[in-house]
Amino acid sequence: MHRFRFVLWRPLQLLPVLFGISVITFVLIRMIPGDPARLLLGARATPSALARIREQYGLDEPLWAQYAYFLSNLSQGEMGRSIVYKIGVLDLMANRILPTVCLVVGSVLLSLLIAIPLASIAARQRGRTADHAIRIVSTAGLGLPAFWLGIMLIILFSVKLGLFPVAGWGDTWLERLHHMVLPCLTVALALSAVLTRNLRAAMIAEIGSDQAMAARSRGLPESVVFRRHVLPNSLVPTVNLLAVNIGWLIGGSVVVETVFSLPGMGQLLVRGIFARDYMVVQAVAMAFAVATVLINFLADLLTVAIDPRVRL
Amino acid sequence: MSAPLLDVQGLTVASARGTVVEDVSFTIGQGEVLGLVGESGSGKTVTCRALIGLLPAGSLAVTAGSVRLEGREITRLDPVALGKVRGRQIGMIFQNPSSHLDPVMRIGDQIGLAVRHHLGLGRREARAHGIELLRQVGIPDPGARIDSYPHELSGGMRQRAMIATALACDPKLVIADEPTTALDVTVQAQILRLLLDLRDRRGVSMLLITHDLGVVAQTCDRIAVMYAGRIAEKGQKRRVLASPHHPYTQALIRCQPASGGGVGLLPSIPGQPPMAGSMPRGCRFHPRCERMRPACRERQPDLLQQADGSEAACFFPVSEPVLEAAS
Amino acid sequence: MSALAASRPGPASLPKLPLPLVLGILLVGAWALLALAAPWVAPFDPIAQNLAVALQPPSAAHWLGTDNFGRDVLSRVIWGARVDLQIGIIGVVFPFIIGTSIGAVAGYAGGIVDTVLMRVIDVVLAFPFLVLMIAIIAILGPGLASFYIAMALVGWVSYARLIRAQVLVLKHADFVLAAKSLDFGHARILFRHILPNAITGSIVFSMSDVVLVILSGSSISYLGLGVQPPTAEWGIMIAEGQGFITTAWWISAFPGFAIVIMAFGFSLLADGLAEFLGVRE
Repeated sequence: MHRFRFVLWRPLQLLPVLFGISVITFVLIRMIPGDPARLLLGARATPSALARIREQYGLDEPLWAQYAYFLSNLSQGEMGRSIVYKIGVLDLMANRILPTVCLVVGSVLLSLLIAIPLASIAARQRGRTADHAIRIVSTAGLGLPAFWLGIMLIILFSVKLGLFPVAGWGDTWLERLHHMVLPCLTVALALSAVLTRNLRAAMIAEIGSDQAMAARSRGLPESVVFRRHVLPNSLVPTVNLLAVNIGWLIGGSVVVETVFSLPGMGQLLVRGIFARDYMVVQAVAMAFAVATVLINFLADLLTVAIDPRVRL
Repeated sequence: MSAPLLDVQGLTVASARGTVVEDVSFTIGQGEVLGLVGESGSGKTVTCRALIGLLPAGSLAVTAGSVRLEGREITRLDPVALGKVRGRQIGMIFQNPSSHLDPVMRIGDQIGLAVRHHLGLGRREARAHGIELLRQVGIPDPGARIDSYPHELSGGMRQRAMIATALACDPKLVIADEPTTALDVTVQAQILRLLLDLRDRRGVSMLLITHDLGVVAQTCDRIAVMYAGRIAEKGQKRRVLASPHHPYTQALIRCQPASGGGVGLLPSIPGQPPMAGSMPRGCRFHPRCERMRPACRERQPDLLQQADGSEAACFFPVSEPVLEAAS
Repeated sequence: MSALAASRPGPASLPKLPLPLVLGILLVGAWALLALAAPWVAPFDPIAQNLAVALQPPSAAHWLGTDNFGRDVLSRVIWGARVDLQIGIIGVVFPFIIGTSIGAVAGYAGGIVDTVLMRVIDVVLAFPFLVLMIAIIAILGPGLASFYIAMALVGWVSYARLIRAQVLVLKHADFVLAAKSLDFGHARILFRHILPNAITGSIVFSMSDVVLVILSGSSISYLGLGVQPPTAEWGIMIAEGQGFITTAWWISAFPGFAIVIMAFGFSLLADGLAEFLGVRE
């Protein structure tokens, strides 16, 4: 499988980006006006604790040295302690990853379940009523604010119909699944607008393509031509679109976690900002950036897997 | 001679702007190769798409005429019945194997889909059938190549693979639309030889669409020359090439590079072929014709039998041969 | 480019405009008028509280109901158009100018300048957009000014990338080589000859970018980091209404519809403009 050889060297190419991410997060926190030691430890820190963190992060030394301390701490897995939760930031994040991962993965899958049938109907009935309706709805859907959509779904499905819980996460997997339905649906609906528009355009191009015409000349029914030739070819650009939008998707999940009080990374970030818990803000921002880079890498893998022409 | 395999009578295809193909008639007998010749835009590709009902919906439609395959009318079939003709009875080879093969599907699956659909074979039988087909079209190591993707093959091999997909269900007629135009010169002859070889071994008839008289000379039994959507001349290949009657055919032959390789520019036909919707009155070739007389502007000439058996649509046909002998 | 020259937008060529463009202009124009005329159109003061009429459902007096302070939701939606339209426009203008300038210069100069720029863009794009925005706003302190600064710091990369790709192609075009042979200065070649031809794609993108900026602005305000109460802004109104979803759905519902409709206008504008200018996104 020589086409997958990039798996070995591509991570090396990502190193400069990871380096850039660490610089930006470092600079962001150092730009906050005030005594950095006090910022990192909070207003009620004891003098001995302040002295300890000054030494650990080299806060009395020049900026480049501080960055070196920051990196060396980072390489030892030391990202500081949360002043609100009083535990290490890494431990804190470890407890918060699951809801966010479930939300992102769940909404991507759900949005494909929505977008693929809608785009197929629109593309196959191009120019007819169904197509116009789907085009209008998906264009309007581009401007759906996820947080508002979440609240509307809560009003409809939780308050009026009582089908799903209003907020929270749950202890068993069954409870969690029940809690995840509305948040995933929220993000998925907002995402499926972009997906549907792009898939529809890709499908229309493929329906009129030479290879689809050749498949028809072999006597295959239109449904087979669509399922076996048009659909796989139009999914290739869609995977790329998803990868490009993954940053947007993570951003959307930050807001949606707040709407549904999901104890995930996004909620941690927002609460960290209001509590001035800067160690947490720094770590979460960095984790999100690294996750985005990794997901793009996975998308490359997926593209190579479904499109045999692609070499990286 | 028995009844023809394919009998096309008065086929007319129109777009919103006017007719693109008008009153086209020809027949193809069992095991016969008919060459449909003309410049790009002369309507030859539209003609062959119309034969198997693959005109782009909404923009082009058959408005008159009949197409009979073994005596059965196929222009007004419903999609299901048409699906049984396409691929099963008529196979189609396209100009550009790179764009007409699905880039993300293995060669074997592209053959297999049609075979399983038409012949009802299982997965394993379809695969064995595919390997045998690839072997017949001269692809080396077919057992491995069946799992290749199109981009992994060279241009010539890709065209062989496409020929295999067209032959998959053993059709009686193969329509080849410029099968060698997109290929390197060195590969062109190989592909033509393969097509003739398949004709000899399988007895398939062939409609070969090309702008290249050299290809026609090498492969066809009979020729139909198209100009601006109408047939200008048709007849036995040797006769038409040796003594063309239509001035257009004559001009086409003069424009071919001689195999001896003369020095200097080839002659060309002055002017441009007319577009659909702005066809000249009378004979469509008259604005470019060196033998034009007033009558040519008035009426459209009909295809008339000439002394040597060819048919030409010209009021003032050429009678002297242009070449000493055809190849 | 030929489409631009052939049919200048004007009364004579109006019927030739694509339908989405016409609808988009009408929709966005209607919001702009409403925003400008807010003091005269809005039936009530958007901020004044009147607890006597708190939490009233839509009625003849209050078409879209009232919120928990008795403020008229319709009036707040109308006044909110001022803020959100301003967010959408200012939030696009600065990234557009900054990104276009940087991208054009880098693409034209090439070499090390270009390489450094591309690496910076890679890093900025590695951060989820909203996460980086939130982090910057957290440092600058909540507020609309912080939002605009954060938007400029983060949003320019898309424009820089778009224009750089165009400039890379155009700098080898014949008309540019001709300008070079006439010994024009680099600045003149870049800004007078290349940029006008390279910028159409960015203009179309900026229209769809308005949608994203309005969504980000209202999201940031919803989180409490953007526009501050009691200003009437749609994101804040939705956040304030969230406490009353069991009793007063209208407080959150209508500002959301307002966002969707305004965003729809800009999306149509983007689609129509792309069709009109022959730009493929």
